[in-house]
Amino acid sequence: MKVDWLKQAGAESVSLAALPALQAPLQRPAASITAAFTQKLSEALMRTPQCRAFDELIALGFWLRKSNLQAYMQDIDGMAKPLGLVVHYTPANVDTMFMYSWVCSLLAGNSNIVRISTKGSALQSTLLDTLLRILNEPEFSALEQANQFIQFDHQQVSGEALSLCADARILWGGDASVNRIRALPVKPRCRDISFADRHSVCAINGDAVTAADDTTLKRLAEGLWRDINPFLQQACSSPRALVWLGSQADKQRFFCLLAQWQGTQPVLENLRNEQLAFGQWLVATGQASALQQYGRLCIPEMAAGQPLVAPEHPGQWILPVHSLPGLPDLSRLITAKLQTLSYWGLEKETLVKFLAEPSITGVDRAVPVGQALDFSPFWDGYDLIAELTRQVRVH
Amino acid sequence: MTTQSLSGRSPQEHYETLYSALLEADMYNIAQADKEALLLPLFKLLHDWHLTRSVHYHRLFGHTESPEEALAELPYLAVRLFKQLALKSISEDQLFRVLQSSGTTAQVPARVFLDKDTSARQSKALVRIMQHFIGKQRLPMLIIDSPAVMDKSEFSARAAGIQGMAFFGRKPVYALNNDMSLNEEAICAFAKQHNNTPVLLFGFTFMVWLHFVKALQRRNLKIALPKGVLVHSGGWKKLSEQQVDNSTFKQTLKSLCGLSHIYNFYGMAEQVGSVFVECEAGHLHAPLLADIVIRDPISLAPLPIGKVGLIQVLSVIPTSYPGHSILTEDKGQVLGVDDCSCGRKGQYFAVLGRLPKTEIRGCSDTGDKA
Repeated sequence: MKVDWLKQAGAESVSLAALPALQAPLQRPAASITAAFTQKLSEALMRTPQCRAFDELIALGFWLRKSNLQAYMQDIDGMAKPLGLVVHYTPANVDTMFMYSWVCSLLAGNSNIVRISTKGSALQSTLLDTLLRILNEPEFSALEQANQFIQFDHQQVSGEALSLCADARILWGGDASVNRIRALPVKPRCRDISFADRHSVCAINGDAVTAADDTTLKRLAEGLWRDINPFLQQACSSPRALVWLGSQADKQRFFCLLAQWQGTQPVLENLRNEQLAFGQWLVATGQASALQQYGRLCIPEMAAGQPLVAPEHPGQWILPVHSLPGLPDLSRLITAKLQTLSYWGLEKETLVKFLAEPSITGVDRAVPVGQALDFSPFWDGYDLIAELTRQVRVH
Repeated sequence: MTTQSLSGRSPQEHYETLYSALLEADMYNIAQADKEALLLPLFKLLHDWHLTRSVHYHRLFGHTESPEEALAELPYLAVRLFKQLALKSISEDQLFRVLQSSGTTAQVPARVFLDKDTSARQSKALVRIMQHFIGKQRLPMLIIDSPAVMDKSEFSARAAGIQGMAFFGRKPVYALNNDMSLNEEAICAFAKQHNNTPVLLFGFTFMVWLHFVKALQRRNLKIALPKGVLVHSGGWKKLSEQQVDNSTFKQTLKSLCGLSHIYNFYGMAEQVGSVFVECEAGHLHAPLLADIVIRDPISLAPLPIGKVGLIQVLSVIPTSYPGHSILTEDKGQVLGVDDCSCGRKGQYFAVLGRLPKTEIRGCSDTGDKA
């Protein structure tokens, strides 16, 4: 099998067997070389002007800070050893998501082959340029040997050979893509970590909104917009619906503040039409009762009993609102597809009690509004670092 | 409708009366202000008509007032809804045929539900509009398409266009074989027979270019139809990808076939009949039965002359489906009102391509197949 091995100065077509990661020695979890690398990458992403042009890269750089990553490694108990070679199948267009799972695997000490989408974006090429430049520095040569970023055309190559190398596979993609890759042959003990189709919602307590002053609500609006804005709301942890609990009295007041928070950055000229097409479809089919526009956000008011997120939801800053009397009314709307519940005005204890109910099959993480996109190694219900290590016990 | 309007006529009779009067009038010599005054009551009737007959339209616009002063007040449907929903203002037993958009670039075709009345109105409107450009006589006709297009079980917009234009033709000859290859024998015989008499040629823009012009060029073939009139439609997307613009198109056809009368028209499968034909000055004109509003792509507010935005198309024809006011995904600009050098009144405009497609981005995107 031929692959394009991405290097600092472009790509080189090589046979899969020629990739050094297949032979490279593994690292200890949280090895000092890894920590030095991630720290350097963090600084580059946060400081160089070409990276700073992308909010998503600044966020990635912030996440890569030493203090943040060290905290994750402290959770490792006992003797944890790397699994071996981890093959990553990355999503086509959320250009930074795969970095988080790759870094978790790197921290665990694994060697990695990361398949990058051939649909490049400006963000992706900026990220790869920065990443490969640092990886090629002499002090990181051991990591450079153990980590390769490749591309290949799925139309021409089935990827069987690559799959057979993997001790674990990380699969980002839609349900159909994930299932297609999972059908490829693997080693008997290969572990699969599948990040398939998920969606997320935000829950706001209307009673608390009524009680809050404008300054507090502005912070809430800022946080919600931070969760919705990146990737045109298409990341799986971006809320694609708002659940408004309790009093409706100050809903409009909040939406007006939210409209003010979106700034005036230019938007794509097709955005509004995408919102109109999806919004009108919701209303015409009776799923929504009305459409309202608040600045850049399209807010359909959903009819009672509708699914939280329609599978057709295209992102595009559309935030359907479900108005519910209280938290218990939310439970029957939660499905296993629901990944992140971002919340505001709800007590953590209340939420813990609520989510503990066995009948609730969704929600892998609940975070305060504004943190929906903050990656943690606990993702989609996995403890990623634990999944990517082998637990050894000496009795 | 069962309720009686103030004039003592039912809204349906009222609509028919107003519509017939419009159809009889000259399609292009009524000034814009007078035209809007004529159209407004018709669109108010259509708005109320579809509110009571289309569940989808009612859900969308049940709370929207009918327009009082300007056509731009009319609510509009996103054109994509025709692909997603069966938009109807008739019962099953009134259904005459379902028109399907050719959907050359889209996977899902749009569906347009026609009763006999709407279908008849479409044909007559097309005749009234095209007569203005090609005269009333029926001409020998060369259809630049394959005869197979008429055989398909579903009624395509392509077939509807050909059928509509066939009114102006007699003894139609298809220029292409069933496999879309050039029917050289038929074309040469047609050209030989009519080399000095008026003839009509009709086809869809990219087929005329791809399967006729290119095929003639490949075979190093020229035909002489100096008195021919070519009418074509269907959009420039595929041609602009090949760097072919309107003037290249015209010049090439002139040199290959001697054609100097070439009329392009802009029309939607969702509004068959009320087409916007390009005049001698190269401008698209709104006929009396139709109009456009250019809207800002972001605010959707109406834009003044010269500003580029989304084209909203209005047509007084459809009663069997709520398609009298549609927001297209085409961009355009109004070039002027009542003052085109060709002498036609009303708005004239240019179409400037389509909105870009949305790039699907998401953790769960399947775009780049595993």
